[in-house]
Order: sequence, then C-alpha cells, then structure tokens
Amino acid sequence: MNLPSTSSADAVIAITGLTRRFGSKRALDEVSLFVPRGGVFGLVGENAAGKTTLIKHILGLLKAESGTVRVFGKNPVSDPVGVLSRVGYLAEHRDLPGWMRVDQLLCYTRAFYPGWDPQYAEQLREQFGLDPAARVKTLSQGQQARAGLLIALAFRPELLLLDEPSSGLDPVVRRDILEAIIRTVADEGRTVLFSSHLLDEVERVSDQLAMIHRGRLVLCGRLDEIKESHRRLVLRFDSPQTALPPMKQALSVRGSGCEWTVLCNGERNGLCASVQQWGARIVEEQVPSLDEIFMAHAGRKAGEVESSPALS
Amino acid sequence: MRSPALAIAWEIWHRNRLGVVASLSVIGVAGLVNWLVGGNSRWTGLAEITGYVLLVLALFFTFGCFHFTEGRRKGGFGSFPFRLFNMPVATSRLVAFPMLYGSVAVLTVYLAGAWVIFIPLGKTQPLLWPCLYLVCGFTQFQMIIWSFPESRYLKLLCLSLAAAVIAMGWMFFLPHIIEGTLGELGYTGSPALFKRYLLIGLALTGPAAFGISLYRVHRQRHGVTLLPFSSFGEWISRSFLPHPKSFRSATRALFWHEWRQAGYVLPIGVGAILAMTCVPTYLSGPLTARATLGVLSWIFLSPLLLAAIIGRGFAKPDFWNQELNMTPFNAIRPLTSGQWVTAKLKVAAGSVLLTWGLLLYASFIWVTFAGDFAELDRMFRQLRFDYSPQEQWLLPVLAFSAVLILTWRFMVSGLAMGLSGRKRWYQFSNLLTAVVWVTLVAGIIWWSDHSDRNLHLDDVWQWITWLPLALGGAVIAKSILAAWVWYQVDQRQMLSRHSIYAYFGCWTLATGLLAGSVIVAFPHATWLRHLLILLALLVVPLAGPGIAMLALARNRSGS
Repeated sequence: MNLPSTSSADAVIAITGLTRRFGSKRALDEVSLFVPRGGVFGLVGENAAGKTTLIKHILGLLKAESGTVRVFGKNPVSDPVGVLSRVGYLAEHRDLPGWMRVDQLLCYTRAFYPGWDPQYAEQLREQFGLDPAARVKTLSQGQQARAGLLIALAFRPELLLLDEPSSGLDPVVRRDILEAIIRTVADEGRTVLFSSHLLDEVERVSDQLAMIHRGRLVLCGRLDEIKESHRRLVLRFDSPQTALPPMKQALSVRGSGCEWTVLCNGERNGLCASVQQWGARIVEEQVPSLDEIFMAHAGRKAGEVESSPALS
Repeated sequence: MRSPALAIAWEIWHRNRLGVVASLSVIGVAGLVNWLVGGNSRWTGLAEITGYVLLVLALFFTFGCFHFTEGRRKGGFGSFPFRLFNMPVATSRLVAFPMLYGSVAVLTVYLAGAWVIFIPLGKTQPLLWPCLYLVCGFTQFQMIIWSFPESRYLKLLCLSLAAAVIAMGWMFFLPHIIEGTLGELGYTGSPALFKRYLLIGLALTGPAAFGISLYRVHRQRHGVTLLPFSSFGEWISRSFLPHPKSFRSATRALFWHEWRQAGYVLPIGVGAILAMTCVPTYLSGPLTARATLGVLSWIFLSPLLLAAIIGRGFAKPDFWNQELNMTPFNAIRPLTSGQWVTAKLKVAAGSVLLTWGLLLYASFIWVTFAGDFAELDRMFRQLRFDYSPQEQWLLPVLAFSAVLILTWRFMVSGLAMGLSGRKRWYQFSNLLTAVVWVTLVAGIIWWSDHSDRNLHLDDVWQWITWLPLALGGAVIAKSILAAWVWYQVDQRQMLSRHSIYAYFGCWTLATGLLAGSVIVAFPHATWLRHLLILLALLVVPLAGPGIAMLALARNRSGS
C-alpha cells in the first residue's frame, strides 16, 4: 500500500493508522495523512465517506480509537488549548448561538484568541454584509455561514479547517469571496484544509488533495500530479471485443465492440505498452477531470490506496 | 401507514415505547406488592404513600414522553415539529392527534394507578375531577411549549406559572380545603356549587388549549414564529442585560456566555412563584399570623425546590438544548474542561445570590404590606429565649449562609452526569433525584400525619445508631475519591493549581459555615450536632467538580 511520504516533521497535521468505528460501521479505516505547512489541502469524498469524522479527530472532538493524530506536533485531545488556539474552524452544520447578536458573537469569540485582528474582522463583516445588531438566529443560512467563516478567520489562524464551507453560500460568494480568502490565507504561508464534495471548487483552489472513500484514503497527492498521472484513453480494436483483458492501471472501463474508453493511472509508456499487448491502438488521449478521477476511484474496490507518482 | 393519525401515533409510540412500558410496569409492580400486603394493616399506610409517589412519578414521566416537540434550532428549546408542516395534513389534525394521544396516555396511567395500586389496599380514588384535571394540565403544557417557539424565557415563565397552578390547584377539589380555605378567603357560597364551577372550568380548558395551540401552530406553519410583543422582549434585552464591548479574558467571556444561557433561569422561576404567591395573598386581604408563616415558608422553600429541578438542566452543556454533547462552537474554543466547569460553578453561585436577594427583598415588602407579624414575633421571642445575644444574631446569618450553600449545591449536583454526554446516565440520575425528592416530600407529609406529637428528639437516636458509622464511611470515601480526582485534574492540566486551592478554600469555608450553623443551632443535643456536622462534610461537593471536569473532557473528545 502506497502512502504519502511527506515527512511528519514538516507536517501541520500528521495522522497515522487512524481508525474509528461507530457501532459496527467503520467511519475511518487505517487512515494515514500528512498535511504540509502552507497551501490549500482539499479533502474530497462522497457523503458519509468520513471527511467530517477525520476533521473532528484533527480538532480533538473525537478521540482516536487506534492510531495517532498530531496537530502542530501536539495531541488535540490531551492538549486542546495548545492546538485549538491556532486553529480556525467552520463547521458543516452551522451551530452558532442563535441568541447572540453579530457584534456579541465577535466580541465573545475575540476573547479566546489573543491574535484577533479587529480591523480585519470589521473588514470581513462589511465584506460579508453582516448587520452587527442582527441576532444570529434571524440570519439566513448563507449569512450564518459567513458569520461562521468570519470568526474562523479573524484571528488569522495558522491552520484553517473548513468543513463543507460552500454549503449555504450562493455561487457569487463561493467563487468571489470564499476562494479568494482561501487563496489569501495560503499565500500568507498558512495552511487551509477544506472538505467538499464540489470537485470543481476543490480543483480551482487546492494545491494538494486527499480522496476518502468509505473511510479509506484512496488517493493523496499534489493536484497537478494527480491529474497528470491519470489518462483517459479511447482504444480501438480491429475486431469487436466482449470484454477487455485485465489491466493493472485501469480504474474504469466502458465501451463495447471495437471502441473502448479506459480511465487509467500510471506512466504513459507503461500504459502504451499494455495497450499494444492487447492489439489495440490509442485513438484519443485526454487528461480527465477531477470529477472523472473521483468517480473512477470511488467505483473501485475499497482498500486500494494510491498516491501520485511524485509522492510515492 | 394508512393515515396521518396512525403515522403520528406510530411515531409517538416508537419514540416513547420504553417510557410508557416502564411507567405501566412500575404501576403493575406496585399493584402486585399492594395486592400481597393488602391484608396487612401495618403496611397499608406505607404502601399507600409509596403508591402515590409512584403514581406521581409515572404521570410526570408520561408528560415528559408525550410533549411532542423537537429542537428546531440548535441551542433552542423544543417546539412543534416543523418538519410536519411539509406534510399534506391540515394543521388542526396535526395539533389534535398528539394532544389526543397524550391525554389518553395520561388518563391511562392515572386510571391504571387508581385501580391497580389502590384497589388492593381498599382505597377508592376519585375519577372525574382527577381525569379532567390531568387532561387540563397536559393540554396546557403542550399549548405553552408549542406556542412560544422563539421565546425561551417566556416559555419557561409560563411553564413555571402553570406548574405552580397545577401543583397547588388540585387541593381545591378536596372537600375540607373548599370548606376551610375558601371560607378564610371570604367565599360564602356552597362548596358543591364551587366544585361544579371548577369542573365546568376544567372541561373548557382542553378545547381552549386546543384552540390556542391551533392558532399558534397555524401561524408558525405560515412563517409567523414571533409574538406581537417580541419587540418588547428585545427592548428588555437591549436595555437591561449587559452587553459588554470587550472581555478582559477568555474566562470572563465564558462566564458571560454561561450567565446569559442559564443565569437568569432560577431568579425568573422564583420570581414567578413570588408573583403567584404574593400578589393573590395581598389582594385577598389581611392574612392570619399562621397563614403569613405558611406563605413565608413556601416562599423560602421555593428556591431550594426550583434549584433541584433547574439544576438538572443546568448540568447539561447547554441548558436549552436537549442534546448532551458539547456543540462544536463551544468545544473548539481553546479552553480546558476545568475552565468550563469553573464558569458553571460561578454562574450557579451568581444565580443563587441574585435569587435570594430578590426573594429577601420581595418577601420583606410582602410581609410589610400583607402579613401578620404575630407568629414571626413569637418565633423571634423564642429565639431570644433559647440563645445568647451573640447567637441570636449569628444563627440567622449562618442559617442564611446554609440555605445559600444548599441552593448552590442543588444547582451543581448533576454536573458530572450532565456534562458526561451520556444520556442514559443522565436520565437515570434524574429519575433517582426525582424518586428521592418525591419520597422525601411524601415521607414528611406522612410523618406529619401519623407521627406521635409527643415524640422527643432523643427517642429518634435509638433508631439511627448505625447512621454515624455510615456517614463517617461516606466522608472517608468522599475524601479518597476527591484526592484521586483532583490529582487527575492537576496531571491533565485542566485547572491551575491556584484555582484548585481556591476551590478547596471555598469548600472549607462553605463546610465551616454549615457546621457552624449546626453547632450554634443545637448546643445541647450532642449526638445530633455531631451527626449534622458529618452531614455538612458531605453536603458541599468536593470531588464533584473534578469529576465533572474529567467527564466534560471525555464528552468533548467524543469518548
């Protein structure tokens, strides 16, 4: 099994062999992940894949049943203050206290973070169009998401964890504000880890990517390298085929008769050699979208973990 | 499911079947025991009082099972399940079915209790007025919790008022109360006629509650959740509640958060009881000396009783949330579990001080304008006769300190269970607390009815010679547990050593005040004094806050 080899010494988040069960269901299964300092790390997976469970372990809101979780080299369960004072978090389900007014929410949250930047907070509040006198419970879902994002950002955390940050945000805010903020944070040398099932969004913003499927890490690496390592090949055979022979690199195969489309992972030379052995020729070759790569990996049997060639 | 009626019935049943079966089982077991001891006159009195206790608990539990609410917003209080508004069912039916099922359940429990528990003892319970009374109580309860989805304090206030009325109102159906008390209050009509009016009134409350609930739920279904006077509440909040511009430290911010969440609940609850008690008694005209003392006793007992009830909610991470897990918003703040628990302990102390301040002020005003001083004067003269001049002043001060400490103790007694995040443990501890309280109250009533008035205090000693040994053992166990718990808290750096020592200082002071009040109050009965000193050592929690800190740390990490 190939795992990402980023040194745990450089990592802001270092997770090794993390397993978590809820009853009989394995929410996380032997997950190992290292998130390096600086940049944007995207965490993708379908619903109930284990993304939120993983983030909760990083925050210390869940204790590892087996394996270890270290954030800034510290255990978030035994040293919550040391970890949480450096982490900004936007939860998937907005759970801001509805009885507070927006200005009270800012005032209250500010007390916990010595690094709170009041000018930046005010700038964000104006940018997000939040009325300071409005009660949180009267805000729309999108406005609550903005308020949550504001308090996660305003103390300029070293690590920003965003769990499905786009949910509730309209496309304009998502594209113009959220993505700009994420890039700004990363450009300042800080780290952003954000989970999403909107793959186009992840594709636009992320530098690195991890893909979780049914609690297992199925793919991890730099985004450009992941995309470069995958190919969608259209193959043509001289005679009609009922099925293709097994190919180690093939993630998904579809087609019939003489023309087949194969989405595969590996070096180009190796792929061409395999195709030639079958007696077929490549008539079209394209870089697949992240969506196609995700679908192909999600369709494979769980347990086959891969990483991009550069990291393996 | 063939109809919405069946679907709602199934939902209520599926959600509460364990509670219903438990309630009926308790009644069944009590009935079986009573059937076995029914012929033995020696046990009949005890069996009867136990039967009442169990029946009250079963009814209380049934109310809890059939409220039919859900928390729409996180941190909110239960409201009518908004998800049902998407169903193609008329609002009248959505309101009627749960109300009907709940009423039937409450009646079933009462009738089962009346027949199964009391018939074997040869006691016949009245049926008409208790059934009407219970249906009235249940429908009012549902009406209140459905009607104010956004106004949690208003909901709490109305529930307190309704609970006070329901807890006291049943007495007006007892013949000797009607004849005695109403006469004292100036009623000169026929008791039978009065009872008939009451029954008609009760019969009308159910439809009235349905009508109001229907109106309110219908408006909620179409987006109107706020009340017309919500802006008034907003004005009160803006004008009178503190709105700090900034906090000097994280712990101050946390205190403010906890205070705004639950700090006003006890003062408001006691305020409601004061209003319910003082205003009618003032309007009814001058009271007798005995009645003045009775009302004052009730007023002074109310903070203790309410603290025991409100303390169960206060023990949760969020008073207004049914869930026991810490919300991520709170859990991700860079604070230790020790700091959270400390904030709760301080909020409880502040709440108790505010409550008793309010109570002393209100009772002073009330006694001045509506009371008769004769009985109070007699008590004061007795105090001067029994105690030295120093003790005469020391004793009230110490006694007042003792009730403050006891009220605070009741507020924080469930913290370890509530903060553990384990619902079963929490529910079990609540049940246990309810059993202890109901048994205590019922026991006192039974004792006052059946005890020998000439019994001397020293005669009690022969029955409880084993008690000092048990209390001594409990003190030793408490000390060992406290040493272990605080060692763990210190090792995990949940609280600074300075704060730990400060808590020990507070514990010593509070225990000293309790012990001091016992020493001053009972200068002659040595055995009783020593017994109560042992009890004082047990009353103020020593290990409890530390256990709460460890429990919260586990809850926070989802363990």
